[in-house]
Amino acid sequence: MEGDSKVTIRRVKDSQKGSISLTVNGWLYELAVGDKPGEVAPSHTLAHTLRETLRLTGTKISCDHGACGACTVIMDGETVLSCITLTMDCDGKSITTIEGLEDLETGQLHPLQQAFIDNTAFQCGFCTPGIIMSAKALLDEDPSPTEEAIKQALSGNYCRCISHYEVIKAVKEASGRSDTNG
Amino acid sequence: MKGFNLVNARTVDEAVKLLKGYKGKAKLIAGGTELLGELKDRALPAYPEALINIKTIPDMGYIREEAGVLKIGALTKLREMQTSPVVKEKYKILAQAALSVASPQIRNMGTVGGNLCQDVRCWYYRYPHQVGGRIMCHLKGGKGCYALNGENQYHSIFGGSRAASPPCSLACPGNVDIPSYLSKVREGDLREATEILLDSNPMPSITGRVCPHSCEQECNRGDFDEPVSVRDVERFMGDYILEHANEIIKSPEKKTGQKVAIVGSGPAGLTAAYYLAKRGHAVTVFEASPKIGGMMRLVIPDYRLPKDVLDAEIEKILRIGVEAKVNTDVQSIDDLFQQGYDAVFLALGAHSSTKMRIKGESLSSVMDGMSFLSAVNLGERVNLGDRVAVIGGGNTAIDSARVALRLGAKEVTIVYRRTRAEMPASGDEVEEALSEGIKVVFLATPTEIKRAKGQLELVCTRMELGEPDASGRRQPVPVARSEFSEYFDSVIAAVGQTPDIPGQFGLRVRRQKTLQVDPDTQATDRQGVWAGGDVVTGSATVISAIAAGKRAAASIDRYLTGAEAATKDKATGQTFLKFNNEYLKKTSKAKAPTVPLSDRSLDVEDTFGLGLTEMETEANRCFNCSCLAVNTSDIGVVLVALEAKVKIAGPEGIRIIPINDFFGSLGNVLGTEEVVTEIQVTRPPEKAKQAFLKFRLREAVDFAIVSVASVIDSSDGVCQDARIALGAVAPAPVRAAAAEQAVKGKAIDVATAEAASAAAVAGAIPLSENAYKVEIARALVKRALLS
Repeated sequence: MEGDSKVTIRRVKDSQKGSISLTVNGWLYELAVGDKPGEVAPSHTLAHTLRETLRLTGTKISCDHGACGACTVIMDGETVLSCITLTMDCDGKSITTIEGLEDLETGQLHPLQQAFIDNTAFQCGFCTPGIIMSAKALLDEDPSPTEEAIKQALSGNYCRCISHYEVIKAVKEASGRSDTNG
Repeated sequence: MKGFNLVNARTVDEAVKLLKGYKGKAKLIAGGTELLGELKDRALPAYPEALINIKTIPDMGYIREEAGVLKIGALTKLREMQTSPVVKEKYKILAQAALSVASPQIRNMGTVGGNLCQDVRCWYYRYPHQVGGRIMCHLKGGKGCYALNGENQYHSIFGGSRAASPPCSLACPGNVDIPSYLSKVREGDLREATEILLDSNPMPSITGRVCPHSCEQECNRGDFDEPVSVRDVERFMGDYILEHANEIIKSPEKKTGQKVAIVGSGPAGLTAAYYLAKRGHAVTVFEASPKIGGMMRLVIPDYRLPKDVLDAEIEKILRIGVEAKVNTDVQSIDDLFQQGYDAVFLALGAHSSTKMRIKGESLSSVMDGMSFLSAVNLGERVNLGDRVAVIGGGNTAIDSARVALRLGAKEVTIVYRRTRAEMPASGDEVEEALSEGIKVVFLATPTEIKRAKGQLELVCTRMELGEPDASGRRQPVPVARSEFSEYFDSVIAAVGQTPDIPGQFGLRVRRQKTLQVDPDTQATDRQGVWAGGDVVTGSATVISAIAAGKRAAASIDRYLTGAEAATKDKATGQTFLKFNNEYLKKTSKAKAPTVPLSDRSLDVEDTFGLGLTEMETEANRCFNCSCLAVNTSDIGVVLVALEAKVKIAGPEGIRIIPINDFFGSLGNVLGTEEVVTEIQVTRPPEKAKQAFLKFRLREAVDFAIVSVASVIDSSDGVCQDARIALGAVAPAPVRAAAAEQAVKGKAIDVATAEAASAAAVAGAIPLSENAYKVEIARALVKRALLS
């Protein structure tokens, strides 16, 4: 039992760690760990932290169970569902949200965003940030994907307005002139 | 999401220690893709205090092939598995299964270990708490499975898993495994059914007649139509055992040479005698009266328990080598030890009638229930006159009233101080008494008995119910100035019995005059002495005495042989619990025929038993209560077809087990302190044909409704080896052994594939809304074989 208690004590200290740091859209955030407003609790999801703590409300929460893809963000190059990711698990990670796609200096939209507008690839637009993030991760990996690859990459993003055809057109169009460096 | 601690583990060992430290109140989190949803919905049986994060353990995500064995670290992401060249080339179906899981985002997050260990799927089990009203199913400690007669289109088609003790067994003081012996009856194996029954109840022909059967009150079928008539089935089984006692009741093969003295020959004493004699101990039963049987002989009337049945049960127990010494009143435990007994079990019963402590109690024609019933049972014609009052609300009171009626009393009135709801007598008995015309005056208690005009004047006070007392029943309180009188020819007081423990025993006696024992072992404070039955509980049922006798026998046996307490066997192998789906429609409980009211007598049994067919019908009515959720792990079903092994770390070190043993019959066999660390797959033969097919509603995100994985090895067009597994059709992936047999040694053509696919679903028992899954499973197996 002595061994056990040692471990427990050490872990408790660890969980009382003062803060975590994460990079969002190029900005480094130090977030205190705790239950107070502005802090990160162990049960906070990344979606919650982005929206409520960092006020980055471009990331949407829809089903909140990892089934619809609306909360998709890119973490260290891969798409993840921020509604079922614990913020505490993102310590040291780099995250890109829909707000990070435009050119921060000029305000110029990312080609993918522009392509979505040009192709009217949304109606209500609620699922669009998630779809664009999935598409962004795909194009970063494969700048000129086949239609099949686009469908596969977007298979975890649901849209109730049936904009899928326009979405595929938009991603195809963006792939022609996508700047993979974002 | 409700709060929790999040604790990072740096090594597997540390994760195991942390799990141990949290004593089952922590959950592992790897990908978290399923767990966080369950936490948000509060779907789990208990909300965890902490999550042990194992993603922080380095070097647990890897795929490598060593000497023809693929080793996959449990933290390997599904995306890594789906894209791994070695997996794609040689273990194709693993890559396909990984790719089929949910969505690209989930595959970036979810791990192989997490997918394998995923919780079962059931709409009711996962019903979000916040939507309104928690659904307490069998998995969450509730009574039953909502899917059995509810929305079950995605549920199991191969039966269920025992997620918890069924309510009937839980309600039974003897915890008789009722669904298991009923299963054996359904399978036509009466002998095996008797074995299971005798394991916890050595005298079912008696309980099949006199037990109040609390099992039936808790039976889930009772909420659907009517409970299974466990009593009648038990009576049939008990009588069957008596008829075939020569073949069924075997004497022990070995004798231990240890001697046990049992004082008292009622149900507790006889039960302990039976189980101890079975274990080879030399058992002597001491009985103060001239005949064996205790309360069963003295108090229970013949019309409920005929003496020839009792005699046959006693004969059955004595024949395995139990010695009976009647007319022997044991007054000293020391004497027994001096006579060479190694252990003593006291089952003296509760023979001393409680007094009403009112004036007039000692008048003639006033008697106590115990003395009255035993006098009648011994053949005495007790003259009660026309009008009889019985005081009390227990079984002795009801028996006394019914016997009084059968002795010729014109009018019998029970006076009870509380209401029907608080009556300790069993409901059926009260029902019978009322139907026979016995009157009950509730909420009244006698305060005095006087002689009046050749009769007895019973002076009573009205009562009302106040606060609950120690027994949890509401305490009757006298109503001021409410006295009334009734006139009777005789009065029988049946207000309770207490044990009468000889002072020379030197045992501590509680205020209720009962003995104190350890509730798990029935051991008294004195070494080598156990006690059980009414002497411990005060007057109670036959089945609770039987249960005490069995517990005592187990503890005495351990004491005598030095054996460790038997730990519950870990279930191995895979057997899903079957039921007869024809009987999922509304049916009625079997009604055993009874003697018409006008013909009822003292010595002929009121109720007849069921015939074999009716008894089997009742067995078919049993739901075999279990969990009908499904395991939908895509990785799991493929690993079953690949005959993989699972490496598990736990407090006792590392174990590597075959995937079939890992799954067992519900979810998996992981202990609360265990962590899956690696999957090992032996490379299938290069020419073997692998297939993975998954049927679901939408191509992404959705879980399988049915999945099939197969590895078929053929040479010269003839199948040499076949492994076929079905997923999402049962609480664990199912190996389709019959289908494998159907293709082995044959050329796989349409005819063979059809025969195999029919064999794969041969044992299916679809529910009301999921017969289509059987057809899909059949079609997928066929397609996999012909692909």
